[in-house]
Amino acid sequence: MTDLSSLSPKRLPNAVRRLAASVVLTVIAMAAGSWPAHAVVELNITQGNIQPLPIAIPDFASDGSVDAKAAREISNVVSNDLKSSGLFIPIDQAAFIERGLDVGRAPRFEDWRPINAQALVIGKISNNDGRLRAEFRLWDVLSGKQLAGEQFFTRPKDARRIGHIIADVIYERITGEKGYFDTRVVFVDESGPKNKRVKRLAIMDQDGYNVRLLTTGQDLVLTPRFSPSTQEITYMSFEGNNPKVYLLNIETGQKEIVGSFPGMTFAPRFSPDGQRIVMSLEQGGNANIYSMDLRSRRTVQLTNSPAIDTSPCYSPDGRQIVFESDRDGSQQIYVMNANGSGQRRISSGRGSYSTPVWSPRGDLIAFTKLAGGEFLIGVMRPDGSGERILTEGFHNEGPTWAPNGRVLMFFRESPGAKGGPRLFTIDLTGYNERLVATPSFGSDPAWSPLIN
Amino acid sequence: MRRSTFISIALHLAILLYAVAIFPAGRELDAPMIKDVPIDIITPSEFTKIKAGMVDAKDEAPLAPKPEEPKPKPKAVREKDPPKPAVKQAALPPPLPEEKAPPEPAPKPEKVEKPKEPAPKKEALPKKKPKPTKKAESKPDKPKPKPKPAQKAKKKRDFNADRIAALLNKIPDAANQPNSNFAPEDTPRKPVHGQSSGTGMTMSVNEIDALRAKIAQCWNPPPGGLGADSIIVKLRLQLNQDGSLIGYPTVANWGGSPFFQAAADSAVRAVFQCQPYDLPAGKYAVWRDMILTFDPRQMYGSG
Repeated sequence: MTDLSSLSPKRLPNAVRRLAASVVLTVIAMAAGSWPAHAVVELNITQGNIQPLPIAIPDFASDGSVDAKAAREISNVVSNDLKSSGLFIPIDQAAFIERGLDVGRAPRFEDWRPINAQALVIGKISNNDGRLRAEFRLWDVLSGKQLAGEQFFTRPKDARRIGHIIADVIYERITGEKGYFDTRVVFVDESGPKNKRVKRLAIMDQDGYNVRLLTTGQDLVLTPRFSPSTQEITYMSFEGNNPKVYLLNIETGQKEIVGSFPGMTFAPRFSPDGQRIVMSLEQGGNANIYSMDLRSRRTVQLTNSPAIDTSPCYSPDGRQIVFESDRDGSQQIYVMNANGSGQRRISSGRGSYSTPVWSPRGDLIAFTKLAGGEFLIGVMRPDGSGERILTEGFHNEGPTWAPNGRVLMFFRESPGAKGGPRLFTIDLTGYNERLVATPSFGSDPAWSPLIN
Repeated sequence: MRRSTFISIALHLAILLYAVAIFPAGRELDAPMIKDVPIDIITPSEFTKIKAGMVDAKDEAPLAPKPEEPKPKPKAVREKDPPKPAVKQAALPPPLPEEKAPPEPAPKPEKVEKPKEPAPKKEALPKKKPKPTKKAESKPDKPKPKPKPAQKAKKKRDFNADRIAALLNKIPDAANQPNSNFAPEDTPRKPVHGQSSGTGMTMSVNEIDALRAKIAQCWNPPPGGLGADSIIVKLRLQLNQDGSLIGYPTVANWGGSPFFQAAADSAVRAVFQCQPYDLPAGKYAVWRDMILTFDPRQMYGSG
């Protein structure tokens, strides 16, 4: 008080007052700043309208160093991949308003909104000294924001792969999930009449392109499985009429028998770290599950029942193994720890269950179920709850997971003399089922991990 | 003891007298205070008006920056670090979309966002804006100053020990004065005042439900994945009076995962797709700021 008044000579008080006023102002300002919190409308949106995202994918441009057709093929790969996921709807190119897009320039978004495009992919392919160069940008049409922009270089013969990689980038950016388009599938290629089928090991891109045969077809082959490295596969072959599990290096063609067991070995699968193989060994009409360390060749017996225990598959963390067994009379699904302890049955519905496969995400186990004279493909949680059938029909079998755990591939046998197995994919919703076009019949698919 | 108490009393009296004697000067000084008083007169209604003024300012601001950065065509990609550079470069070049055919890539949103963030700060600084309001309302201003001096003068004349209290109350007085002024001010403005006052300024349940339903219809969340079906996104957005978005919505919470990013993008798309919003014009002050919480848990049954 006194100080203030004593300081009251003309100028100082002004300063003090200003100070005081500014203090007042800031206090008020702070109060005002908090106002909006009260004046604001706050809404919880708890329901959505889940639909495939409309995406516009104009043909990628080429700069003259590359055939326009080749450029268009790459954008077609992108379009087909995204469409096959069921999460995107590519918009018919005839509806496009803006033409002559340039990857280096933002599009006129007002030309894309009327055709309901929510995402737009602009790409360009060129040839740099013999290397293919692909650039693309992904735009959010509604907000006008660029979501992704990348470029890739590759050998011209890997043009399709570039398309898959671009599709993966788009898929991940929009869904948050890892894509699975740049992956491959090993399967058994089947040709010839039904009573004299030739079965050869084959590998292809996830979309059915670039099929390459790995064996000659002299010997029956079954259940090929990828190693996590994607360079090796393990499978069962009847070579020399002695069914054994083999290991094959895809790049070198080198082949070897896994372990030296007295009986028949079958249903092999890699551990998630690629260091071990788990499989069934049959002796005297009784099959048990063994694991073998690929380095030390040491084998460990994991089950010991008078029944047939087979189709073992590790959980993604490698701590547990799911397998099928008929120890309770009919085929059912069991889970045990990786050392064979704690075996317990998880399937409980009517019918019999087989070929369990643990999802790479760990949250589900896919299986084949035989019930009511039909073979069904379904999923359940690792504790056996939440069983859900995704597809049914005359004969469906052998599910395998895409690396992101959202899509399954399986084979479906068609009846009749001319019938045969075909490969299909289905996503977890059960609504998006698609044929994977292969040159001939195909069975026993196994999806690769992500390719690095 | 007595001496000291006398001295004490004497000094106190002297101080009091001194203070009283100085008061006249105090009056003169008070006059400038009055100018500041309006600043204190921030009532909800005025505040919203102030905000409206700010809105315009924001609009202008974004426009200005855009022209400054008009790069026509970004030459997209550098060789070895293709992806990242491409993105960055793309962001830099964008000019205004409407004005020029050339691209406004990522940059737009960024620029817009920046203005938005400052916006809250601006709101916090009503100082500048109150003045404009005064000017605009020249009539009300004049009445204000007159009453104030009168009041102060009375107080001074009445002077007593209360004076000290008055001095102490300077700040409170300022606050009170605005209020007292407020009433007279309001009377001339009745219509505006009515709109902005109290309980009438909330949205009805029906209006809220309609808005919620509309946004839900526009919201296409990414497919639920493991852990992705429980990601909640909070968006803060501002609307023009015609119900269109101002700038780019701000994501008010944070998550670094690709899942969060995808979820946030889907929420932003929903908000863009749904505009313009058909909301009661009279309640603009209420809905010009909105916070939307997109919560998919119920939908995916993972709540």
